Amino acid sequence: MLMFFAILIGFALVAIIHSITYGALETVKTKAARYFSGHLSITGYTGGIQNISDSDSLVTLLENSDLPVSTVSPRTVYYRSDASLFFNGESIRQRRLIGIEFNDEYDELSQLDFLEGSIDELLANDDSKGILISEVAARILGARIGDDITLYMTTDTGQYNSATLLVRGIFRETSLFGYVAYMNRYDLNSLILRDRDYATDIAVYTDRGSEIDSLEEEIRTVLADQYLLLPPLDNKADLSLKLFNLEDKSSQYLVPLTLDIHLDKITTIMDAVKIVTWFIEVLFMLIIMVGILNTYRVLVYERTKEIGTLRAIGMTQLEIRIMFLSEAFFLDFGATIAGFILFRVILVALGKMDISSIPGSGLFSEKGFLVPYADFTALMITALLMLAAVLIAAWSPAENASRLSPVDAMRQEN
Amino acid sequence: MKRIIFYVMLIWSVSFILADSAQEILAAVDELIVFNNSDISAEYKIVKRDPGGATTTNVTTIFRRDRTDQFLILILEPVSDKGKGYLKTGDNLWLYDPIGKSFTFTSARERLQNSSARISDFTRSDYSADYRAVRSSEEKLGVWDCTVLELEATNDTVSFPKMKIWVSEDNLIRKIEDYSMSGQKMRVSAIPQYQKIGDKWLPVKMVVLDYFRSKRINGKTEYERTTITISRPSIALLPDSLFTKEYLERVNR
Repeated sequence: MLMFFAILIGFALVAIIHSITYGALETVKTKAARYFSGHLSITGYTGGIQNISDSDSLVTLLENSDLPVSTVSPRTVYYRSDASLFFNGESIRQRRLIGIEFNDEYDELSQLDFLEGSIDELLANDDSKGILISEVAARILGARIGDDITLYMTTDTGQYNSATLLVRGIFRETSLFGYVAYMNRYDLNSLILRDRDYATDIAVYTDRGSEIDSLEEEIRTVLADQYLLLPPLDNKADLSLKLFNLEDKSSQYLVPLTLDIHLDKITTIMDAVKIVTWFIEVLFMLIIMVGILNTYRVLVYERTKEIGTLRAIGMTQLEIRIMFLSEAFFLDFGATIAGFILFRVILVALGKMDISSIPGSGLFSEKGFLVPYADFTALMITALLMLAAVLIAAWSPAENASRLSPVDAMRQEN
Repeated sequence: MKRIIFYVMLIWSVSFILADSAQEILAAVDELIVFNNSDISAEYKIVKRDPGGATTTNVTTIFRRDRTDQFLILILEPVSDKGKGYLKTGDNLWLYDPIGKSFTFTSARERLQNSSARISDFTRSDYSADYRAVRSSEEKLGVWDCTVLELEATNDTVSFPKMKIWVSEDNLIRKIEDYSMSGQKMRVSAIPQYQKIGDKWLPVKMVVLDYFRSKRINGKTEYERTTITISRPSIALLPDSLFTKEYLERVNR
C-alpha cells in the first residue's frame, strides 16, 4: 500500500511540476507570439529596408500549404520609438505600434487580459478608428473606453503625422511585452503613408506545444520555390550582418524568425527553467526508487518462507524473478493510473487559482490564472520513466529473492 | 465653349500669379530673417509651463552661421544641464552630453529641453525652398493686416509637413500654425515683436502652444505653453572653431 501511494503521489507530483512549468513557458510563448508577430514571423528586406511586397500572395501560399499552422495574417509593425499617445495633457511613448487584421488574429488577441472593452467592440465599430491600449498607458493618460486619444508618430520619411483614435479596449500585459498598442493595419498604413496592403511582417501561429523549429524548416521548404530566403539565423544580431553581406541588395529576401530568435535574451532563462524542472523530476524519481528498493527488500525478507515454498513446488529462479517484477509492474501501472486521475484533479484546481497578486506572475499567467499544459508525450515519458525506476528498484530484491535456497527459505522463522 | 475656355485660362493664370506672389512673400520673409551675410548669436530664455501650472526654465546661447547652415546651441541653465549642447555640422546634428562626455546623433525635429519648441525653430529657416503655398488669403491679426499662407512641405527634411503662416505687410511672420500630415493642428506660435539686427530681424519674444499637450482645467483648455525671450543679439563674427565638437568638449572642461 505504501509503495502504491508513493508511486501515485510521485507520478502526480512529477506530472504537475512538468505541466505547470511547461504551461508557464507556453504562456510566455503565447504572449510573445502576440507581440512578435506569431510563433514564427516572416519579414522581408529589400536593400536593407523592411517590408513585404505582395503580402497577400505570401499569406495565401502559407494558408494553402499543409503546414501545421492555425493562423496566418499580415501585420504592419511600427518599430520606431517615437510613437506617442496623448490625452488630457499627458503622453506616453509606445515601444511599438502593431497594425493588425483583427478578424484574422481574433483568437489570439481575444486572449489578452482585457480590463475594459474588447476586440468585439473594436470590430463592431470598424467605421471609426479604434485602438487597444495597455493598462499602463491608460493609467498614465487617464484614458478610458470611448475616449479620443491622439496618436503621434512619424512617416517613413520622418515627417510628423497624427490621428485621433477611439479607445476600444484596455488590456493588462506584462512589461516585457507591454508599452504596445494594437490598431487596424489599414489605419496604420495610411498614417505612415503606405499603400493599404503594405505589411512589414507575416504572423504565423501554431497550436500550443507545437515544435517551432521543425515548422521553420517546413516553411522554408514551402517558400524556397518562389522567394529568396536569408539563411537561418542564430540570433537577431546575425540579421544585420547577413543583410549587409548580401550580394544582391535589390531583391527582396524573406526572413523567417522563430520566437527563440526574438526571445534570445530570455531563452537562456527558459532553458534553465526546463533543466531545473527535469532535475527536480529526476530527483523525485530517485527518491521513489530508493523508497521502492528498501520496501522491496523488506518485502522479500517478509516473504522468504513463501519464496521457499514456491521454489519447493517447482518454480524456477527466473519465474520467481518475473513474479516479483510483474508485481512491481502492475503496482506501478495501477498507481500510475490513479496518479494520473489525481494529477487531472489537481490540474483543474490549479487552473482555477487566481495568482495575479503574486509579483511577476503576469508573465506566466493568462488573465491572472495559470495555464498548465498537459502534454501527452511528456506524460507518457514520465510514466515510462516511473515504470523504469520502479523496475530498476525492484530488480535487485527480485534477483536476491530468486537466489534464495528453498531449504533455507522454508527454515526461516516468521 | 470659347467663354468656358477663356474663364478656365483666366483662373489658371490667376492661380499662377497668386502662387508666384505667395512664393515671393516667402522669399521676402527669408530675406529678412536669414543672416546670410553675418553670424548671429543671442541668448534665449525658454520658459515652459505645463497645463495646470508647473514651470521649467532653460537658458541657452545660440550661435548661428546661416550661410553654411551651421549652429551651436549651448545650454547654460538649469545647472543640471549646463554644458549640454546641440551642434550642427554638415548634415549631422549632434547632442553632446557633458556628463558622459559623448556625442549622439539627434534630429532637428526633437523638442528642445522638452519644451514645445523644436530645435529647428532656432535655426536657419528657408520657407521659400522648403514649402510651397497652396492657398492664400487676407486676414487681420491684432494690429496687423496679414497675408495668410497655407504651406505644404516640398521635402521631408522639415519638421512640420503643413503650416499656416500670418505674414504682416512688412514681411514678418506674426503667427504660425503647424500641422501634421493628416492636417491635425500640432502647435500655434505667436511672434508679437521683432528686433532689428543690422538689416535683418530677430524675434524678441515667441509664444508656442503645444496642442497635443493640453488639459481641461476648470472647464477651460490649457495648452503646454513655451515662452521664448531672445536677448543680447550680436552679429559679431564668430570663430570657426566654435562650430566644432572640440569646442563643446573644451567648454565643459
